[in-house]
Amino acid sequence: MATLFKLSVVAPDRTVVEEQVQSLVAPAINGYLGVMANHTPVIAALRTGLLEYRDSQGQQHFVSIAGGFLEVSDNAAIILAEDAQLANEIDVKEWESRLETARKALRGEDSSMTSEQATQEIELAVNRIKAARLK
Amino acid sequence: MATLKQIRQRIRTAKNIQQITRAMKLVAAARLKKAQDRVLEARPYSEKMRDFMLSISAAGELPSHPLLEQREVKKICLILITAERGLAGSYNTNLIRRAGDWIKSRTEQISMLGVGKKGSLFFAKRGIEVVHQVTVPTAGSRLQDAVEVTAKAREIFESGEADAIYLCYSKFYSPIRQVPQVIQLLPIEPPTAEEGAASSAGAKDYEFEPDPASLLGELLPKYVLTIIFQAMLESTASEHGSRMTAMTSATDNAGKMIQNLTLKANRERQAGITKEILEVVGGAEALKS
Repeated sequence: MATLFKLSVVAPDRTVVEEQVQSLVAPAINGYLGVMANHTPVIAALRTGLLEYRDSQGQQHFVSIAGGFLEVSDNAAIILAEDAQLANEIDVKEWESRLETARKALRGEDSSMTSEQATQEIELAVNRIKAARLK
Repeated sequence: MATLKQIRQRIRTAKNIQQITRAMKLVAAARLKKAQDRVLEARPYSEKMRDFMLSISAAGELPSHPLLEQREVKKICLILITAERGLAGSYNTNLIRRAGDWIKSRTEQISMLGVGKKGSLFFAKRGIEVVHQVTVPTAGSRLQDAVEVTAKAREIFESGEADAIYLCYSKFYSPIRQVPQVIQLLPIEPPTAEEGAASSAGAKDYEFEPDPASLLGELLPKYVLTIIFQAMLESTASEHGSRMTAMTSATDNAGKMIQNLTLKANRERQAGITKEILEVVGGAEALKS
């Protein structure tokens, strides 16, 4: 039985995950960062990507996060994400349409967002769709 | 002495007002519930954000950053969060009084960034420069409103238009208790460990990825945003709480007034009838004799 540690993923408007987990893989700025129980204290910036964790039963879960920070200390991992969504809560259709809008904006057919925003939106949407397909 | 007609007119007026206040009360109650949920859901994030800052600042000297820059304070910008509309009991008045007292206690030159028009309207009339005005939808502040305020606040601070930025908002404790308060927003004062337990937890050696300076560069703007967003949510909840309380008592008062007036109207009507009978009887007596 693997040792457990506490993982909490909080977004500005809600707490997404709060449970005991076996392992965690987070998308840090310089590449994925794996965390298991009794990890050395670390603070890392995260980019948009997939967060993967195994719950106490060893079941794998995915969370799509949009940038944020990770703090590991005292056998607890805290993730402050700007936006986070559990893979099985993702509405693929919604994100596909958002992806489409963002692509249009990037081609200059839609002026509702700047190209920078559109690029970010595309990155996030692709990530969300990927997460939804993975589960 | 009011005539029967006048009293009935007043009853009608009171009933109309009661209907309006009752509707406002119901709307405020529904919005309060939503706003309250949002505050409670947002609190973990801002608390963890604070812990984060605590961990980083406990780990050693903070690297320099534009948002941490301490300058000699000559000009201050106050962000005042009030409601967009009135009829919210003492909510706006309390905030304005708190801000007014605070401004009187400072000797620096004060400008203002208004969120919600009630507060900035008041101070604009009293000769305080309102540099910017943000309108908040009545349904409650959204994240992008907070983003707008943050962007403006940083612009003012970084351009040197103000050397410090303070935030005046109403902290939400319960629907009947909201406390207006003023806090310093910029330059950021790294949170200090207040409880002994927190300081021992913060004294660890952290590994930083990437280095602390760029990490801080990412974290600080978000820290500011979080504080502002939290303040705006708290204020929205306070506003609806205050409005609900005010409208509840207004509805009750209208009810009492209607009761009194109805009693008066009935007495007046009875008096009229008695008078008529007396006249009839008097007339009959007069004929008899």
